[in-house]
Amino acid sequence: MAKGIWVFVEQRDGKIKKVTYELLSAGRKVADGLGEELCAVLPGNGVAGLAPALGEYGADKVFVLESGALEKYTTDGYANAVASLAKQYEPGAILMGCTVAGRDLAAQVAQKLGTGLMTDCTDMSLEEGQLVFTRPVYAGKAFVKASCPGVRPVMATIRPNVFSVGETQPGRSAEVVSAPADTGEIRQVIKDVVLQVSTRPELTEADAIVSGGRGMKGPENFKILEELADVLGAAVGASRAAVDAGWKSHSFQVGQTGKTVSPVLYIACGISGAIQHLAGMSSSKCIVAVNKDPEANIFKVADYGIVGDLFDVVPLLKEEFKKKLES
Amino acid sequence: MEKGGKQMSEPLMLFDEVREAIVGSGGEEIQLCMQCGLCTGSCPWGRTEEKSDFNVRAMFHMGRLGYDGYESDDYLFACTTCNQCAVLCPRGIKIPGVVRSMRSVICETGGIPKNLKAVLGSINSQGNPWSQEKDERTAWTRGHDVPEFTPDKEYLLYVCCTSAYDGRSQKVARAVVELLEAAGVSFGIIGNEEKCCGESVRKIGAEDEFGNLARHNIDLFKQRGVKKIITTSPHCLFTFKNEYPEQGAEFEVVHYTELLRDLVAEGRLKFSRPVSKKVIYHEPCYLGRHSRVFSAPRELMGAVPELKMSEFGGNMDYSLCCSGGGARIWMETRAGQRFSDTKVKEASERGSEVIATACPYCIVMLEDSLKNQNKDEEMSVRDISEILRESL
Repeated sequence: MAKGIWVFVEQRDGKIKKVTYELLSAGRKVADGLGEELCAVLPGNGVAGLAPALGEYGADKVFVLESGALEKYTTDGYANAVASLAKQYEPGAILMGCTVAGRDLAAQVAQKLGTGLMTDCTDMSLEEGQLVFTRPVYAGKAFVKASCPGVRPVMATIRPNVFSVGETQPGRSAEVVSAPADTGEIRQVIKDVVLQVSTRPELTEADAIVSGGRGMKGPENFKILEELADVLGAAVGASRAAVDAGWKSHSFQVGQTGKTVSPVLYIACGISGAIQHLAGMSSSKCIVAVNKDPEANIFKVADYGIVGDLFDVVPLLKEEFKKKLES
Repeated sequence: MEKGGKQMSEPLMLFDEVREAIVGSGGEEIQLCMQCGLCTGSCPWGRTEEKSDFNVRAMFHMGRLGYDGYESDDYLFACTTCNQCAVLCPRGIKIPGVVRSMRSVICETGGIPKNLKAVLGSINSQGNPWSQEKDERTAWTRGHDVPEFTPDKEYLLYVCCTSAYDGRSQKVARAVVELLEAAGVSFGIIGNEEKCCGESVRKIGAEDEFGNLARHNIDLFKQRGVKKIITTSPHCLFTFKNEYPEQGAEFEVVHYTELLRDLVAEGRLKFSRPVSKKVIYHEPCYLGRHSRVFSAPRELMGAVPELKMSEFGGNMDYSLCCSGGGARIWMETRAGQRFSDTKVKEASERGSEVIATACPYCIVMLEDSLKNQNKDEEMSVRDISEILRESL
């Protein structure tokens, strides 16, 4: 008889994601209700040290799957390891966070185990000995309650932040089981994980934004805006035309069809001021426009307008701001 | 799929309640659909360079059976309500109307795309969708003497929010004014007290907001003694004509091209200055397919000396949309998926110098496409009113 509630421990570089603790707290309650064990499944490389602390969050047992092949998340490596562990121990349920990795892994594991999976759940309860999951449909207009009475393990991905992390019990320890990690054949090769790191603030949170439009003439010229932005501690934005041209990705786009911003200072460089753009930034406290065309629409909403070549004006602005801010 | 001897399947969840909600929101015609697929076959989403997943027939099927997954941003909210499918539908279903009903079910829950929430916020606080100040609605008249509407005037000139606020589009509003003045038409504007007509707001599915806008405008127009309305945008024309009467409106409504055509026929308006340009006409969906105004724009351009008018391969009932209708003007469509990109390419291949149109949304979309196709030096986008004014 399949028994035990399992929670997949999602970690990156040895740091456990909060959703894991949320699932352990919620899992503890259903495990108690069923009178079963709560187990954490911890795949990774050099992660054994993380295991004892999971007891403090409610785990009775921690399966540690150590392998060099589990250093970085790969679909095959993780799915093979978790599925073969589940085949060996036959748990009653496996819970994962509805995260990028959790969604990917859950589908693969469910398929390997030939079992049911309920995705994107927002609640979990026990009804007549069955785990029942709630998931929203139609953009939240309706909720579906679903269970898998005929198969084990029951699998579900649960959205982060729907359960709170319960109080930890310092000193409570879990039994640590080192299990062989059967990673099987791994078809994906992860060479490196490149994180997009920016020291500049988020567009929607920035107090100051320096934006460029089609007048920037090319992606390489955004460098002068970045230099000005760094002096001001500002974020860099772009108009739709600059994004369409492929100079900046859509995440930089300010406007009705991009991000709506309202910083204290907005400096628009080489942006004509189409309504599409204005709709996303005209509530900025102070708007400075730099444009060659004195007729440009952007000047109608600007508090300060500079008619001139931005390639002359922007470096000057940078120097002047630098002097002012340093003095 | 067979795997490991076990039958793998995904449970299909059907909800009669969803169909009932769609029907309850005015989408009863969804039940007439026989799933022939002519809609999907004619949909402009199938004609873009980069293919999209959007499929009208499938969406109807899903909505009717009430199963999950049709309500996403790039599915339910992909439709531009261009009406191409509806003019072909063998069951005569007004497909954009059903799409609107399906959206209103989602809108009630707040599940609309993020960019559209900003639009509704602006509608509620400023009375326009562009997050611009309500007191600036008449900014386009600055430096120009535009008469105010009084009960002795024959027509109210209702300027679309886009032409009231967008610097580019303001030129269209001023051109229409000059043409009306040249023909001696008795007209005036109301201005800052007006609110958005609500056509595209209703297409978001925002029935409450639409109702508020319509009742506000109808009360305002009645109180000022308005009997006849000239619109600059085909979208305002459509809703004033077809949707406002349900809210108690009894106005006679014309698009400016219809009125000017009559004025030319009566000899009250003459075009004498040659405009020696190769002009191709982009048919606005809400003027053509939705409002059946096909000849007025063409007759007007035909009255301009030396203007060489040409047509797109698909025109009138088969014209390709700009992709700005159905609230898509406020949502991002990737370059390469915009119908206006396809339009601009065809116009260029046909050797056009000017793309003429008669809708502020089309101008916004086509001008963006001219830029992303790097054709803005060889071609321009102009409203018919701008060409006519040049020819006065």
